[in-house]
Amino acid sequence: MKKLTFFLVYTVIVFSIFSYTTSIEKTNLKQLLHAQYTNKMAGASSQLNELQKAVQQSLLFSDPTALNDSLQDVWRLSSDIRQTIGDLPLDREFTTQWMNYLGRLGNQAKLTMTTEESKANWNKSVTNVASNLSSFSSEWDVATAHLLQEDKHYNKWLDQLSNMDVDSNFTNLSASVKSYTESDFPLTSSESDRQKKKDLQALKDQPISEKQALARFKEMFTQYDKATIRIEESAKTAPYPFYHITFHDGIRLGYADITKKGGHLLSYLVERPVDESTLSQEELVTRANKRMNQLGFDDLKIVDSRENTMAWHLNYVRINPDNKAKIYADGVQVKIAKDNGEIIGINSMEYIQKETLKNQPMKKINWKTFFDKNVEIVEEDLAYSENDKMEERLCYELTVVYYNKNVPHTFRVLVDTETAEIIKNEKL
Amino acid sequence: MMRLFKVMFIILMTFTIFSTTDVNRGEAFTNQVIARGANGDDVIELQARLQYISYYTEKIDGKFGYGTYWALRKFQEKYGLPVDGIAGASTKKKLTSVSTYHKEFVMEQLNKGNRFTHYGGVALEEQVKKGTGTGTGTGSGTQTNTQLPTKYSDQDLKLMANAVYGESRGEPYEGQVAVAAVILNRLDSPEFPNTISEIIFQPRAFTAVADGQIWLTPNKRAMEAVIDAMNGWDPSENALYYFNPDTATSGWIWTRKQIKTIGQHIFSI
Repeated sequence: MKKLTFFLVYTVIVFSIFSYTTSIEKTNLKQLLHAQYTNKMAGASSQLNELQKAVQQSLLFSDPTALNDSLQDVWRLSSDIRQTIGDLPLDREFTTQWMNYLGRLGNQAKLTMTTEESKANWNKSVTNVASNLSSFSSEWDVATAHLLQEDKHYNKWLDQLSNMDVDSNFTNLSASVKSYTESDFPLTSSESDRQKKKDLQALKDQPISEKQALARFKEMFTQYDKATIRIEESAKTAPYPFYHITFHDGIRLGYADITKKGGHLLSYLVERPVDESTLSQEELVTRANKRMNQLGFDDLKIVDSRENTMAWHLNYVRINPDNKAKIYADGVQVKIAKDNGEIIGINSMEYIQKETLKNQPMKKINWKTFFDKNVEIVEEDLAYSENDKMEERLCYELTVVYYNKNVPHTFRVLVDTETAEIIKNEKL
Repeated sequence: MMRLFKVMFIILMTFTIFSTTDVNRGEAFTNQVIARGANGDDVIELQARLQYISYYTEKIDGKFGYGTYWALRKFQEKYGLPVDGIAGASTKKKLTSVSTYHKEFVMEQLNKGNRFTHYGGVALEEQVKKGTGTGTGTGSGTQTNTQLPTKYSDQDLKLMANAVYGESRGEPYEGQVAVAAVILNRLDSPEFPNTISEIIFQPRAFTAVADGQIWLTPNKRAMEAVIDAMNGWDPSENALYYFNPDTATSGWIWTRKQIKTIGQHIFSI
């Protein structure tokens, strides 16, 4: 009995010491985090003030060097604040909106440093930005004032910081920043076009029924005639409506998404075991080309192929019938099984809405003076690519090789046919 | 007598070393024609052989890119073969006859993640750069057996596979590709950080980071899902968020516009 009592007392003492130590450690950790977050928050406040000043300073100068210094400050500070905000456990919606605003502000400052046109735009919008930043700064001070004061209840503090309540200070801040984004950095027309393309809202085709979508799927993929198929419509809030088809046929399990407007294939993917490779790369590409033609993709050209463990991933682009230029923005990706050449994936989301292409003059460029004398052009073609303003531009597409200490370096350079501007320079 | 014994000993030693080294001068490649975009053991052999005779000076990684292409063309030109940068039967035959391939050595260094060369005339043990190996000798090299679009790295693939496995290993394949696509959609969105690692480790962005499941070793299925997403597939239809309605504790996530449900996850923007 004595022994048991001793054992029990001993256990209780050990347990109490352990609990006490753990509790102390937890408290220390909380205090440490609290201190770090407070430090970051105070840092964000001072960075915000600096940013405000830098934006205002940029209004002062017409001298390019002085203006560039202020713009560099805007660019750097907006990036610093993004970093600080990202480290804080703030309301997610607020963080998202604020990071978006800062990102756009930084990008605009960077763009202004490089182009004349952007300088005019900066001067036009910066007055508004300065005033919005000033009122945001005041709101931020109000929202964070009590959080910067000493508060021993860390959990309560954290709750306030990440409050999801609609009336919370941060939700209000989020609404303000959203309105600033819309007024100060509205989407450019090209960005809107890009977005439209991506979200496929602009499709004008007639809607098809669930039954028609299923028929369309079976017409494209006849092998799934006897498969177990399930079809459902996208959520009502989806930016563009589509049918989601899932199927199961023996070892094959997959899905296909088809747009409601027009019944276009968005993507298709099958999961199945793949055996050892028996077909050559050439044979696989031939089979893929034939199958893509059968599926109605008859204006494509293969531009890239990559071998992976089970399959090859092939990249196709649309060819402009007028000048035979590649249109990279209208691409289709294909996944082909290495064992029997079956197409086990198609991604044609970007191909559905074709790019609108404008006529563009083609000036002759002297490549001998354009490139260094050690650069060799190994391939020349025409291709459309997006410039900084997100416009599709016709380009000379050059594959060039440069030897550095006997090591070849290959690049794909896209040069605007009208302005000779380098639109893309990619190491291959 | 002593001299004879010495000669015999040297001959015996040379024979032993030669017979234990996996040197391949004969037919070794598979029958496949190898061209740009290819990946795997045949490409490793091609690069190693080209490097052995000093035509290829870059890293032996099993990925048939432009570096291998130019080296092969140079070799074809030198030996009077059709210059097309494709390793067909005649090119492989010629290459095999003029080079040596120490398969075991090359594969061992690759598996260890060591930096090494395969130049002829240099002893094998001198080809490994001491102290530069990133592996442990257990096949933990940093490269993967894949050909990714140029904008992504092997590190991106590994990190994303960890995230996909930690977040959605119980989900259908489509759901895993969708989770990977959400990470890549965030990369394109101005509202999120600009690198894959920053997106994955953004505070409170992914549950797997918070609970440590991101550090589980991903399986091949998760890797394949990431490769498909990197190659353009997006079953989420441009989603930026996803959540499990049974376990989500945030009220905010329900305010997002929903797109579709795959397995246990609702995808939204």
